[in-house]
Amino acid sequence: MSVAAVPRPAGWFADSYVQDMRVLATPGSRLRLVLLLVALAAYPLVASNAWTTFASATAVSVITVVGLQVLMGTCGQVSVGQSAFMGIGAYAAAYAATTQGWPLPLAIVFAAVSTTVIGVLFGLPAARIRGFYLALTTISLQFVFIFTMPRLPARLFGGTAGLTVPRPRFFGAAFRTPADFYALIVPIAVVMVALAVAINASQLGRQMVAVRENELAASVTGVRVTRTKIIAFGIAACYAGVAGALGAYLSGIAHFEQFTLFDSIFFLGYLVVGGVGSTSGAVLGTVALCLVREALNRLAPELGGVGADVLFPLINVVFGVLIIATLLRGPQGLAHLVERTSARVRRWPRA
Amino acid sequence: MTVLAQTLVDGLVTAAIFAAIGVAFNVVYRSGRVFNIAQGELLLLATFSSLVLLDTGLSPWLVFPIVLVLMSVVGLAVERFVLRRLIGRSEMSLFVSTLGVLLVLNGLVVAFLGGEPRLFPNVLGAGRLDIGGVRIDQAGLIGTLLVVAAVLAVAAFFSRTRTGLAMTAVAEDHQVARSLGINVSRSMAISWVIAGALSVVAVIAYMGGRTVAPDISAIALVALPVVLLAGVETVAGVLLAAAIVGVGQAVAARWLDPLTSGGASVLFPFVLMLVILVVRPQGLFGWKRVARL
Repeated sequence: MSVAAVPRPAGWFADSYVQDMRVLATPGSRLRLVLLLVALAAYPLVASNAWTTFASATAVSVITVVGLQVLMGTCGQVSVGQSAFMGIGAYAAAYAATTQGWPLPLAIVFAAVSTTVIGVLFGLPAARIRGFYLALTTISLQFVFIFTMPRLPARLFGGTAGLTVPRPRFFGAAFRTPADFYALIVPIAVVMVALAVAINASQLGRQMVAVRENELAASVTGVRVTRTKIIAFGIAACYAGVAGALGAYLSGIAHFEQFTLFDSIFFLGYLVVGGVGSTSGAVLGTVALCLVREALNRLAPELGGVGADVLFPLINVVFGVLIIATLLRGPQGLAHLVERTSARVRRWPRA
Repeated sequence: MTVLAQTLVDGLVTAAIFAAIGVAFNVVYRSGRVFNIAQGELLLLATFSSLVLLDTGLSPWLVFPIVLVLMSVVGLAVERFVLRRLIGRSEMSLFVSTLGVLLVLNGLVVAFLGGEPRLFPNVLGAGRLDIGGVRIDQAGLIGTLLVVAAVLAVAAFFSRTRTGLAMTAVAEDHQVARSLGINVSRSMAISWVIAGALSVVAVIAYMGGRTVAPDISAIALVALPVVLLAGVETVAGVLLAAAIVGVGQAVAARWLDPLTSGGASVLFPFVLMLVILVVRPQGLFGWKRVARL
């Protein structure tokens, strides 16, 4: 039985439902994926150290936002607490690595498990409510995190100074160059993104969509609404936890001030601008807006004193305008724009 | 006894700003189904534009009316350029759009009105009353009364006038409201102007004699538990909820903070919020909605 779609003069067509559901249905899409992976592998060889570190940091954000996409885009639950979950992951990994002296893979798994547990616990009350109220709980989580971390025992969690994370060792070799970190973070990001695509395409993903569209209708068709929402919370928290752990290793510190409400808002912005509907939107939005941010950050020193004072807050203005413009002009985001443009290119020169 | 009374008084003064901001939230929510997370930025804009104008030496009697006009213009602009185009969209879209408004306002204020911590002048006077050993700031007293008056006025507007009642219908459903002949975009515009005006009231009532910095916008988020305790649709109920949260916070600050290195009073509102969400999500006076297919 052929699994791939079938070529016809007018393009590739699926002749069974299984084929139609495949994520990589055509040879073209598979080729693009291979090219993308090759480009990602080759990137640190050509990029400078600063750009390699930038790519690693972006990959960390990509993991967080992709997790947020499952919760917000697929399951329809607003969350403004994603950076708090990331912070919990960062602290968990830092705690495991310093206080317990656990090796890197164990510390990351510990961060993932502990954030998932907290995410599920948090999802329990949150699952009963929606919209307005849900945004409230996630905001409160953000504040509870910021206010609690510096007041926990400094011996264990570093108090106001945060927890410094030692340079990770992997099979005895210490991480030294930005390329080492890139080699750790980007493959994990690729796997996490692939997993998110799988989740969205799975039965669970379709149940989440049902919950998003109409909770009552979903429950009538046999979807366990509360359970589905809690799982979505757990997934988003788990992604944030892994991202937080990797981010802590990358920056060498877990500090509560790295995980503010504004960061959560930025993650939400990345997702909205990219397109909430799909994983590719989450990735696209994060990469695009991280590039915009980096460009503005690099521009600032060129302008000197006053210019820089105005420019940094203007990053917020630019992001705010982008979010609003996306909502007004094309609520499906960059992902949809890219899709439409590439479809137009394919059809060229016919209409 | 004196300590208890003093704690109570301190709590009620804080409660005033929670009430003003909380009512602003509720007004925007019940007349447009918009969860306005940018409320703190409205407060920030009102604070720093007042500061800049007071710096020029203008009398406060002139400054605050000007700021009131400015805030109304901002509210109308948000409605005209953002919310009007999103009528009928999901609650999530409306919420995310106010996130965008938050970022824009925050960036503009910090960029052009100053991002440094500053002392806000004591516009309501620095006098003090002493009643049986309990100190009451003149400014705190006037401010609290001002807020109570403003909140009662807004509550009366919503329950006594035709426009106010019609605006309530918008919170139910944009389409239904429109089919009843209610102008949804006008309702939103009015609610944003009220929210802007309440921000100015909050500035007059609370900021005098305090150090203000861009992070004062977080006050609005601390006011969220108040909104939740009261219920998102009530207006007057916010007064009672604000008093509970304000006094509770003052009590926590007085007796629990020494034990928790200052953590209890800042955490109190948010822990309370999580408890309310589990026990009674619609709050004390909110509407209990029935889901229908």
